Amino acid sequence: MRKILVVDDEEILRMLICDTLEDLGFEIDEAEDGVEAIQKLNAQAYDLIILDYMMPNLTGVEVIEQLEVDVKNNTPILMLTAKAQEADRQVVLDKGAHYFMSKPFSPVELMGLVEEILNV
Amino acid sequence: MYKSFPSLDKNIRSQFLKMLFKVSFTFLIIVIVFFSYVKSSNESLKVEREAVREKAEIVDGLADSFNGINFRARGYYAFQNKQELQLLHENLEAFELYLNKFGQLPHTKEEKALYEELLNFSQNYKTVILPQAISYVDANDYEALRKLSGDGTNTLVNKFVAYTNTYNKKNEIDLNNLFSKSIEKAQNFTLISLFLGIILLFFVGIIMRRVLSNVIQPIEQLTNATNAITSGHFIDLSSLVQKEDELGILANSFHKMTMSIQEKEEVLTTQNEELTAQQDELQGNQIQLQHSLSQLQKYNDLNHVLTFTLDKQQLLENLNDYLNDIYKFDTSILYLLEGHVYVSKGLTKNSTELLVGNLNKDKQVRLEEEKSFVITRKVIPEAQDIAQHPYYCYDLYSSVLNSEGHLVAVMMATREGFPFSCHEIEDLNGLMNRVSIAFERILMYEEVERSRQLNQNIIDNVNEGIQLVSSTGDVVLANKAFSQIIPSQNKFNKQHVSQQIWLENLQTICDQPEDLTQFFTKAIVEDFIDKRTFRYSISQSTQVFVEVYATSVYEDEVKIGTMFVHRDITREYEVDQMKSELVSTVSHELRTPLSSVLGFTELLLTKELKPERQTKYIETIHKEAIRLTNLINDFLDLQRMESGKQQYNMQQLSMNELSIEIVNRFSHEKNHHVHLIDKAKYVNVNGDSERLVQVFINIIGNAIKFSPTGGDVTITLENVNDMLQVSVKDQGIGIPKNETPKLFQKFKRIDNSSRRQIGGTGLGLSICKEIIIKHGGDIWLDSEEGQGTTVYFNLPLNMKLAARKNIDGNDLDEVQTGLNVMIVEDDLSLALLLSEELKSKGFTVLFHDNPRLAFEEALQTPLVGIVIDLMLGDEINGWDFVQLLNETEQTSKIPIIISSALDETKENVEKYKIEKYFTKPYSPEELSKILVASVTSKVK
Repeated sequence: MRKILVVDDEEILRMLICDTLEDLGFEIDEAEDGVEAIQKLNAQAYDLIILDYMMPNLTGVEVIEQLEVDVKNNTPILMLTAKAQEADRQVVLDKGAHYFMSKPFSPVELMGLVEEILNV
Repeated sequence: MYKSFPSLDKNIRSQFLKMLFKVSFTFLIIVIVFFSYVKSSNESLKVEREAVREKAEIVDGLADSFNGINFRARGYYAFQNKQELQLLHENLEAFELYLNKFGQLPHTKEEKALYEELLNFSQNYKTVILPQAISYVDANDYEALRKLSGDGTNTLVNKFVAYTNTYNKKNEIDLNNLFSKSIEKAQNFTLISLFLGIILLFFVGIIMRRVLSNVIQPIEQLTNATNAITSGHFIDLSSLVQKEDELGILANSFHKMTMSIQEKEEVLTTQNEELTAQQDELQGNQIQLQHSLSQLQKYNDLNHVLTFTLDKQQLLENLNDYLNDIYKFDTSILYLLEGHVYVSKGLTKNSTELLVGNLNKDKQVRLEEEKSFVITRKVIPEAQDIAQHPYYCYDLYSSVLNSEGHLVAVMMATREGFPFSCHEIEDLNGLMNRVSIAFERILMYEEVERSRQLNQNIIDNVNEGIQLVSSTGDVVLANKAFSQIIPSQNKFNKQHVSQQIWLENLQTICDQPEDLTQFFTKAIVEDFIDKRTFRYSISQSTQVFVEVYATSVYEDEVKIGTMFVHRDITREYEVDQMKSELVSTVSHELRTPLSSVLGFTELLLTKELKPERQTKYIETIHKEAIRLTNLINDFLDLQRMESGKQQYNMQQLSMNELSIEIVNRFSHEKNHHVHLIDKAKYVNVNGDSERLVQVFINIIGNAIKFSPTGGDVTITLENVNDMLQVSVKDQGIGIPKNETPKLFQKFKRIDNSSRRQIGGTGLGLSICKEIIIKHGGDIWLDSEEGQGTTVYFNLPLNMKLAARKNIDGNDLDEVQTGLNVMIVEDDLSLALLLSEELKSKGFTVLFHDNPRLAFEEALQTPLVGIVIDLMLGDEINGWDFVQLLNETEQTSKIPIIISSALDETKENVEKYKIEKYFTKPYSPEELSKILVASVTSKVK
């Protein structure tokens, strides 16, 4: 079963993402901040990372920078961020995220994007 | 003119030499003659002596040889010895020889006869006697021999012997004669020599005398004459002058010299007299000149002052001094209308003021028209003083007019007894024209200076840093604000700082040195009409952001420099930064709940969900919507406060009532328990209850948010420094020390994981601070990371109300006030009622609604009583609490009063030694009476 890691400091949003993706039949893991996320990513392989940008301690971009090269290259990263401007989008993509979605987001769209990424 | 030398035969030297020569020559001849005479005398004596001696020798030889003949003959005769005969022959020969010599000598007659006889004898002897004798000898005829020897021979021999003796005697006498003759001659020579010496001395004497008379005496005469001339007398040297030798010439020259000296002296004396006369005249002139010079000097000094001074008072003083010096006024006033400045001479200040004040319009008009006029008046007898006769007084008025002909200054002067001449007045008018120019110059300068000062003040008081730079880049002017904005430029705050220096300094501290240099260099060099703006930041002790604009400065349409206006925009910049940070935060904070609302709504709409889940989603949506609302409210509050639109509805408030209300509001919190400890004696303040509730909710909300694991939140009311101090203490995560000052700034929040989880706008405490400050209080906090945070704020007490109830029915002495009573009650309104009553009696009330916290407090604070409600909620039962107090040693002595809705149970009352059991409802006064009685009995 394919695994998705959802990283967000807001519990409600983690719940929303999990509930959105539950019907797609993936194993969904959660991390509440960047530190936990890195630990988990270094411990096991995931098929997709859904990463919040604005998080305490480490921002989403900082998480990407600290990832091992293997993980970074092989795992698609979808960045969810409240920073919605085009400039922010470009920065995020330049820093190594593969996909970008701004908050507030539509669960249906998110579902569609995840399906597309994972070729369901 | 002068004879350098006398003729050869007359000069002293030749005379002297001639005389010396004559004397020497004569003397030499005498000496030569004398010596040749002496020599010839000696020679003749010597020859004579030689002749005598030779004759004597010959006579001696003759005598010897004759005797020898006789002697040998007799020996031969006697002994017939042939050797004797030989010797006889030899003697005979010697005799013949001597005889021959003798014969050659001059002879006396006697000697001639003797010589004849001797010559005969030798002939006879030789030819006759001797051969006969020999023959007799041979024949031994002695007889014949005797006869022969006796025959004639003997007579001759005797005769000869007698002669020789005579001769020797005579010879000795001759020699003696000769000797005495030579001694006599020697004596003569000595005498002659002596005589010659005397003659020589005599000559020398003559020469000396002549020298004396011819040389020394004239010299002495000359010396005396010289001395006499030196001492101013004359000596007649005519005797000397007539002489023809050198001295005569010398004397002549000397004489001529003295004559010329005499002549010259006379000329000199005449000249000297003339000179003395001239000198006297010159001295007179000089005095006059000196006088003129000093006048000129004074005028020059005045001129200098007129030309250069910028001080009105100084100008007036100098002018007054000068005028008094020249015109000898008795009294004078110089009055400058502009600024009411004057100087006076010979007048008191009061009189001067009076005279100046009396200068009426008419006189002013006359002064403008006439420049100078004199009023002559007779001195009234009272004012004559010691003067015997009446005299006149002359008042001179002279005006100084400006270029428009208006009166600028007035001179009023009086001279007693001496009228002013036309000449004097003309001079004065001329001078006044000059003074007019000087005054105008000073007034102009003052005007310029005033406006310069005004400009300077304006420039210095402008908040913007103004820097005027010449076209060569030198700073010509920089105001105070400039060096305040850029303190490092302060050290150059002098005129004309070269571009290199100030720009280099600016570059070194600027964060954008290249852009800055380019901007300044361009602005200085280029001629532009519009305004150019540039922003830079400098990093010194703090970072300062500066906006500078440049405008060209023109003079006669030519750019002469550039003005740079630097404005410190640090605050604006920071606010800007903060606002954009806020926008970012707000964006995030708004989008997060919106994500939930939108997301869950979409899920509800698109997915088939179980009813529980639907409910959960809807609840979540509701919560997030509330969060959004709060956020928006905070923004709106902040907006209101920032724009100053917030209205405060100030009323009298009892903070304990308000606190109880707050505690009630948070009574439903599950994990957090909000308590109130009311230690304050005075609780009344002026305030807006709605805003203060907002403060409480914000602070308590934070306390709850930042103690995610739950715990107690304790509100404490105290009186500290005549203020009501409220503290809200939590047991949460705390705040790092270095972050605490930031917390009250707008838009600031602590960024760490545990905080981020909590969220918030970062505006709560800013809003609180704004409200508390508007109430005249202050807000601060004390925190330790991990130990919790206490937020304090204080409010000024309403003292009129505070003093109130303490007065009526106060049963306790002032000394005893401050006694603590604890009320443990969950009915907050009752607790409030009781505490009001107790406070009015002078007790300090500690209010608790939680037995656990109450117990902790009781362990720490000495109490005079404790009022307990038995129905205290779930945690601890009322009786259990009473038991706890009883069993604990520290609290066992505290009188306990029960306040309960339940009926009294005698058993427990006795068991726990309850002081009093009140059954609700009861009058609070009863409670206070019991407590007062308890306290007073203990004191007694």
